[in-house]
Amino acid sequence: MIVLLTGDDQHAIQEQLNQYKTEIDAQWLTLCYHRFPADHLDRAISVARTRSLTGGKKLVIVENCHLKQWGDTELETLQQLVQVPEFTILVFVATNVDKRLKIYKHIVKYAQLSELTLIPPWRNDLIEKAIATQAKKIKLVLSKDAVEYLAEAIGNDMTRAASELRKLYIYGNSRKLEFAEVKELVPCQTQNSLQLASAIRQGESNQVLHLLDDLLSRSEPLMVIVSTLLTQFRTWLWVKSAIVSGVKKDSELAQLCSISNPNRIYYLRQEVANTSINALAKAVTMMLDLEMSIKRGADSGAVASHRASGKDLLPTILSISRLFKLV
Amino acid sequence: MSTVALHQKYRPQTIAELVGQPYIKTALTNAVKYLQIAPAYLFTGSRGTGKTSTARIFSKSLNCLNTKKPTDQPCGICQSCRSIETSNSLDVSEIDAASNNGVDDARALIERSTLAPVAGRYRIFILDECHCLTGNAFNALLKCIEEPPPHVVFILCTTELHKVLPTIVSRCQVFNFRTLSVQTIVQHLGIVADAESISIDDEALTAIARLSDGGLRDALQLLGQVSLLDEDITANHVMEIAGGVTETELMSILQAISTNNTFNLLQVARVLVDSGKTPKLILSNLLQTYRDLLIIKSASKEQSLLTGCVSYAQLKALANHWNFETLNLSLAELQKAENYLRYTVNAAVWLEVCLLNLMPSLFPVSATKTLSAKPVHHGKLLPTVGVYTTNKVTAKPVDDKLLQTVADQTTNLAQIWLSVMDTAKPSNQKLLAHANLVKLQGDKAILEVTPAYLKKFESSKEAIAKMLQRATQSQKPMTVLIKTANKSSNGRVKA
Repeated sequence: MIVLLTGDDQHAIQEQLNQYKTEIDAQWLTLCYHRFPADHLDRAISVARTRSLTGGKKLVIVENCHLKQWGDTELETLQQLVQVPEFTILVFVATNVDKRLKIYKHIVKYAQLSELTLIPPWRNDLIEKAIATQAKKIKLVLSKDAVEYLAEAIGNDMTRAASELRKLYIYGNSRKLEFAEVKELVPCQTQNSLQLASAIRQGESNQVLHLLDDLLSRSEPLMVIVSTLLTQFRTWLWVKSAIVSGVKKDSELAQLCSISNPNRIYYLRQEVANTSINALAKAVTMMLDLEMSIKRGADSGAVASHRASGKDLLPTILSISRLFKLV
Repeated sequence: MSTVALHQKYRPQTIAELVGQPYIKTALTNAVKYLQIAPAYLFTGSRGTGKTSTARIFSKSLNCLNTKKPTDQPCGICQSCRSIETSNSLDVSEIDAASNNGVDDARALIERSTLAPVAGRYRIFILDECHCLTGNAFNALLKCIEEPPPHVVFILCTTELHKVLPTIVSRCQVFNFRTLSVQTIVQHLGIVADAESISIDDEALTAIARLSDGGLRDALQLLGQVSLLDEDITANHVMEIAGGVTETELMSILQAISTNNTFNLLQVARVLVDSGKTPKLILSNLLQTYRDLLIIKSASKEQSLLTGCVSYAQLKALANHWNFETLNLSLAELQKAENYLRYTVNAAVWLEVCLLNLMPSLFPVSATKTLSAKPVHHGKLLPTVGVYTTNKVTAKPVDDKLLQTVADQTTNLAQIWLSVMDTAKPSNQKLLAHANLVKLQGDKAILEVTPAYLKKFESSKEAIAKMLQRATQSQKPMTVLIKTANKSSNGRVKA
């Protein structure tokens, strides 16, 4: 059997390889399991052609194949694919393939193709589903909001998802996990920063203080917080100013404000509905000043430690949040 | 007998003894109990939160020789536990990645990882400060960390997670250590102080906790330092030892500022400078206090967020003297002065000038609650112009002409309305936010309200008038007119 594994989902590829590995006799692993880098193709093929000593199955993996870099000599070697016996599993692993290549066409004549691509990062529904199925696989019970949160916190990095779920499973010890616990063990700084932004926009100084303290106590770099805030407020400002100047259509709005996901417009509209454009504009300027002063280190003159400059971040953030108290 | 530093003497010995971090404790205890050991762990968090301690305890737990399998209660007396304690165990290598950061070190490590453990069950590599590893070293470790031999456990510790390659991070089980809250530190310090029979009061402990920025090691270090004093330790002692400005000193400065007492203020500043505190230090301590005041102003119940050395009760009393804008301007003033201090030779003079500028009587318009529309720089004091005679610009009664100029500036109106909202009860603030002050002339004010709330505002006209009068400090009673705002198509109130 010859297989061509392509795609950028490293985790899924690894799982697939492990699956093949279970098919060979574990006691004869040293004799029947071979990994080769792509430039040792000829050796890999010759190993694949020979019978395994045990008479059972044999696994040969060729890693990191760049089909584009393979030329005539490789094509010549690959002519021997016909002779690869049935009991050998020969796997080519490539991150991406160009389907117009001669060599690709040659390989798929003999090999079955399986494409394992990552879920695109904006398809939250699919990511949620993937995480839910992975959790089910290791018998981890999660509440629905916890799954949603995890999808947001981890994104489409399935390797990380696997290790985070493993950790949660060990923590929970086969009992159902609630949102709060998940949040403590898998922190998501970007989401917290976005929460901070919306708290500022609503002028909730109490919440602003708490969120900011939380972020700083997890030693989140100041620059990262400020730049997340800045991006968010700039988007709001763009949307608001476009709406005020009479842009009505969602699609037009999305294009103007360069928002890639048009579904977000609906939420953005709601978010800026009660916000004044002046306050947003002022907030953006103040944040730029803040970013500048952090970059120069102007406000951490006395103590160079991380938290100390975090203390100086607070007054500006508070006064920005005050801008929004007045609707 | 040699003395052992407190933070080493009271290093936790079991996972349960770890201070704070409840979630990490449970997760690791379960991992050991049910033998779910990951090939690699990554501990991250700021200094003094227990990363290295946890790594050591965890390796003791895995390798303790007194039990048949890994235990969450390592004995601490067996050969393995003791050798880990003195970091000369053959199976557990604690590697300082800061000084072994090259590819060659990484390759040597990978080579060693294939060897079976000598005495214990696992071969454990603790890579402390692993963010110092070079990119090549990380890449060399990648394969090994992903699929290490079954008896190998990697524990990576770092303060800076963002410097570690994402490919490494995704192959590890990541545990984020939080900085400890002030209460947790105070609690732990109390236990240590009792055990060491150090007589210290709670306020002093709180002061230590606040100074240590959530790092337990710093806190214990400071406790060890103050314990050398031969008397009962108070918060003032702590501040003295830590080289800060004490609460009493700060309070006397703030008192002088709030009562507009120029001479007193100058005197206090002189005494402080004479006693060896640098102007920079004084300013940064003041900055911290103002920041705390700001917190109290915006959220009066948040005691745990305070970081300065002035106690909550005193701050609370002080906070009544000032409004939000004044505090904010003072903060800006202080920050600016801190910058200037770097370049000046005559720091003491700058300090005095800065302190004088903090006095409410010298503040520009809106902040002082009076409505005298003076440009910012007029009231301010610079070292070149007639020094120390500036206390004259006091709150004048407001005349109509001035008011007119003020009314032109919508920002000022907004600020007046904000200060009205400040005086209102929190429950009413939400309602008041639905109105805009659009005109203020003499004793007449016009409010613009969203139509839905018109009735409510009409019924509480008198109360609003009173609040406005208080906010503008005008002598005459106010009359308030209320009209509805025209809604534009997008739902925004047109000013």
